[in-house]
Amino acid sequence: MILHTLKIVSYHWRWIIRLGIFIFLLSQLTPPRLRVMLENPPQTVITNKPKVCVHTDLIHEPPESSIQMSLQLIREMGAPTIIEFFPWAYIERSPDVYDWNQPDLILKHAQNQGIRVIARMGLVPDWARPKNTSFNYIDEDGIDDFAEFVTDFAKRYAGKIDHIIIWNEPNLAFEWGFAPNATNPNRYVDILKAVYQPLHNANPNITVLAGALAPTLEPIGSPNGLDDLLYLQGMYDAGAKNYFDALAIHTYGFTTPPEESPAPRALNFRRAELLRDIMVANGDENKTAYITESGWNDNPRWIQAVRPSQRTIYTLSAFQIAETWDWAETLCLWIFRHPTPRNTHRDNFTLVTPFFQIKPIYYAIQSYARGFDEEGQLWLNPPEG
Amino acid sequence: MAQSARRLIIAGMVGIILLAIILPIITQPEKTPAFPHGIIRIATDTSYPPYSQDIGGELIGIDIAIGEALGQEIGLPVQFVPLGIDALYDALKNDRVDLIISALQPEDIMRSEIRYTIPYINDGLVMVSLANAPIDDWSQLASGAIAYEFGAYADEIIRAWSRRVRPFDKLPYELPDYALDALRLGIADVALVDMTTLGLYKSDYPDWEIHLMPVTFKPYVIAVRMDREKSFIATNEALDRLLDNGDIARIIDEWMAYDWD
Repeated sequence: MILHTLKIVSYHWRWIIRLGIFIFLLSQLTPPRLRVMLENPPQTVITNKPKVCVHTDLIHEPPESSIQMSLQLIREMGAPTIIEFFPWAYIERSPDVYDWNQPDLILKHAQNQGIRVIARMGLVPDWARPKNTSFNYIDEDGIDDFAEFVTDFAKRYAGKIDHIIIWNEPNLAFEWGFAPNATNPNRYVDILKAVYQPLHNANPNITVLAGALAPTLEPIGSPNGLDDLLYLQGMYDAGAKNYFDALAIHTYGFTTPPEESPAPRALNFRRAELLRDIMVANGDENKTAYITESGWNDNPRWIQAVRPSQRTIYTLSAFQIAETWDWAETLCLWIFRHPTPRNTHRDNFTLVTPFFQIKPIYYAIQSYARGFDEEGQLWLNPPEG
Repeated sequence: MAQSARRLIIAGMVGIILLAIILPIITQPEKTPAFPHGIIRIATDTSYPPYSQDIGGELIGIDIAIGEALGQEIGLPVQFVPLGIDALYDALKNDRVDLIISALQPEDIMRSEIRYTIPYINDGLVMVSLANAPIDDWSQLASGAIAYEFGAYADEIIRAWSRRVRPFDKLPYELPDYALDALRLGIADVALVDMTTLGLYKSDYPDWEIHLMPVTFKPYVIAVRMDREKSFIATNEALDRLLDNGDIARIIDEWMAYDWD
């Protein structure tokens, strides 16, 4: 058999070489991978307003160039911090098998642009949860696996990522895969207890952020969620105090201006102050808070939205209010850009379109953060006649 | 040899028997009706006027009226299920509803699981000019003035176009209605707004004669689960008939002046 093969090769060696050359040439016809050069020297963020921050969606960016371009724009806007989601399900696709490619890329470019990254952790891989459950479902075994994962994450990125948000909006049933008793704060505090010390062992400089509660007025017993103020107090009652270093806050303005007074039954920007009051009432006045999601939406039809002009004014005023909150480290807007159009009102939270078309609100924030002169009047007076 | 022939015959006979059992089952016409619950359950996000809104517990709007008209056309009662926008597709996938009618644009990433009907309205941007001074092309706009809403999608389009065509005056306003005011009052040559904004504005000025030039296409469609082919066909055909006989145009006209031609 071997002899026979050798015979064939010896008879046809010229054709075999020609075929090899042809295949090589053919392979050269495929488009080359886009090479992305890091900026040299590495950049720093120039800003007068270090609290300015945006939530990004870089984990879903397929091309590296889009990650870089997004971070360049964020730096040029004057935002020294981003919040980025690092889904457990994307990184640890099977037990102890990690794919760090995308997080590494994000970190590489964030560092190159001089931008601090705050990591949000969640999203359970299918191997770590029962069958027929959703990505947000987690049981006791899953909690141990999650603690292991975030510890590995913290160890790997120590010195590059020193702030980690645990879970997202745990006061919503959806964020637990609609599990029974989903919005019982004990469930969330169990996760905090499981991750807190291992995270500090992995990175002594880590700040563990808890909360990131959804602003909602859902009453006790609602199948959808629980009022964020009640939930935060519930967290303290369940012993959360010693298991987080700072509070992550989500506060949206919806249709109201940022100046509107806070009240327990009102969802508005200054609801953040009520969450802060609960921290103080529970002896946590020395901890700070990071507003990790905020902003207004300017969809033309959605009833929870405002006009783009209002959105611009409200956002700038919100930054000014946040300047007066000495307990607030950041005010991060949801969301800088989506990689693809969502074709819903979600597109109207962004500052830059999927096609990198910059919206006027971006320039307004840039002028605020970097102290640029305003262009003058942003819009004309109503026509008269 | 004889043994293998016998085996072959037995296998053939078993095959024929199985075929006789299976064939009638697979060729039998599917008995499942298009809407197995005997009712058309429709998910809608009621935070989106004039398409769908909840006024004191009563659901009203273009999408609601279209859902009711579809029910009549198909011959089944309809039941609306108000949901947040994030829950619409989940409700469809989990069989909590049969259709989504909610100012919904088709999403490419959903196409493996969802079928979309033909569009029932285009809510894209439209270049509006006066009927006696029609403008059909950006090139006609050179040294003219265009009014639009600051920060809106029209603003993005104009910023992009201003780099490509000959100079024109940009007139950003705080509200899209002000942009249309500017056109109506002769301050601008063109206004760039979405069709719904124009339709609502035109209701207040029914005699105002305008010329339209579509700029972008933003179709609203109805979503059906991929595995519900019969529901999809029934819905799509009923919608097609309603578009043909002018019922959809009449429904939209009740809410806003929408120039179909």
